[in-house]
Amino acid sequence: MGQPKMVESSVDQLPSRLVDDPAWSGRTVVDDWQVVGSLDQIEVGVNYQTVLLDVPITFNVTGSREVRAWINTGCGSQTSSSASVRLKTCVQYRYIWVSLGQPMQNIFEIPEYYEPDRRNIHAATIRVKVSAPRAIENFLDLAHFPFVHPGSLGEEPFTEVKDYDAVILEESNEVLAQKCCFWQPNAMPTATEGYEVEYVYRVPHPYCAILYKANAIDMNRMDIVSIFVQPVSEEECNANMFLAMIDDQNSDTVIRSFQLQIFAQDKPILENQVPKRLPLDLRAEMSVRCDALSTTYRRWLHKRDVRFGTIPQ
Amino acid sequence: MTSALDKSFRGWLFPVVRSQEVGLRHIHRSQLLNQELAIWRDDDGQINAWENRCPHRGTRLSIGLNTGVEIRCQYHGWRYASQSGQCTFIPAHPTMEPSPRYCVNTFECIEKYGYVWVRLEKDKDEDLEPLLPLTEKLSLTTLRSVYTMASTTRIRDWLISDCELQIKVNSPSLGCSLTEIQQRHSFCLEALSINDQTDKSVTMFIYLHPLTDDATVIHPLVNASISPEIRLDEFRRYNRLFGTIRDVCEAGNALN
Repeated sequence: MGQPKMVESSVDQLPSRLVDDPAWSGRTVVDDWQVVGSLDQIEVGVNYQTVLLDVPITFNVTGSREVRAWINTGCGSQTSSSASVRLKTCVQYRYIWVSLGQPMQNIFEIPEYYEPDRRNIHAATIRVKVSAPRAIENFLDLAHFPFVHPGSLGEEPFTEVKDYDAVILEESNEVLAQKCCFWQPNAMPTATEGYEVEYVYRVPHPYCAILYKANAIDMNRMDIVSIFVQPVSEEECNANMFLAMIDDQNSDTVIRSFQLQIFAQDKPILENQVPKRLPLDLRAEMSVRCDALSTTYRRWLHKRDVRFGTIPQ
Repeated sequence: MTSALDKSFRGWLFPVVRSQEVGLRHIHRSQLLNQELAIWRDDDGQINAWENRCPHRGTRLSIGLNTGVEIRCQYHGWRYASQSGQCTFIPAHPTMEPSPRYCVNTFECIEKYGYVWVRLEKDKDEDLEPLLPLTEKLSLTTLRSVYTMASTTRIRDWLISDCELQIKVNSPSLGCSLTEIQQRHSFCLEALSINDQTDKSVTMFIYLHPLTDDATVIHPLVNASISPEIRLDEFRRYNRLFGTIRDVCEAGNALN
């Protein structure tokens, strides 16, 4: 097995469905960086097979820390052959990102990641049988806390969602929600009592969302919980939970298990949403005021012409 | 009739589940003609057959909570009233009166002959009366319903005409057999069930309930009351019989 010969990906080497079928996806999803794994779960020199946007791919990390990825060419071959289509890759926030096309922009910024006292933790990768946009929308939702996460992120009778701001930022092309306040009995592993937590949500990528919430000890700083979702198929995804916390008390294991517990409560809800793809027609599902972020996200996906994992208008 | 389910069947009443299986505070999940259903009973005994989907964010209502008067959705706690399906409370906005358009899609249903019967669409002026082709005195006992991965028409055709099936069904080890199988209407068959030991026969009805294009529930019932001392033996006998029918139907399905 010699050095693999590979060609740079170009539009005419991608599966025809990616290119020809206008109903399949807007180009942005093909060109965008998509997460395929965490460096924490990767062994150097091992080939990993996965499926991205319905396209079977293989990736590995070489001894010189180079990430390589290519589209599988039938025969279930684990190794790259001369026919392999080499894909653009990068590493950001200790995750491996792949583009099936030509990425037009860098991965979104999380400036807090570089702060010296941040605990940057990959909490888990979880396979969910639902579209990536449904998983993101669940992550953006406040109103479910008392029902899906009772005792931690919410508790009856504190069910009211006060009005908040949700906007599409034209310049950075992302969704932003601010002044989201919610009473939480046990907001974080560092929390010792219930308090009203302020949330800020950013959606900088159709399948990635970042949540900033006030730290339980230093209220002037924000903890970060984010979800980077790999769209596997239209109705299946891998959710990567990434944390950037201010916490000098708890072990990685404690912080991880808190998030895992939360996600374990969301997963059965997500897998029981019908249809699995997210409808972008705002009349398809009934919304109330507290769904402002959800409807803004849906409008933004429609504007960006994101069709993979959605039911277009 | 083609294998794809005819749209017009949406106006027909089908038995969907045995009444006894829709117990107190339970929500039974089923399907009829590709439509997923949440079937539940309120504490007054009233039966509901709803689209199994919260109109807010599409969550299956069958994973929610039956409070005895309402269904509470598991995702955001929205509550929907028995019978009307009207949303009564949205916890995120506790002082807001839910708009009448926040309503679950409901279907007509009745309980009769030991089953919950559902139809997906109103059929003109037709009464909500299930077809049971029997004019004699009824003394019905419902048997365990059997799920099969085969189309409704295929199962019906096998039941009526498949000789091999007859042989298998007549296999002596089963302890009972079916004869004189005849079609009474599109999804209902009548037959004689003969107990091999006693040689006694009883009239049996077999309802076919299309879940999807290729999955069917067989709801068998006998026109006989079964005394408690032989109940278990009888139920086991019928269960073996219909288990065999299912196995043969599914095997035939695989061959086709």
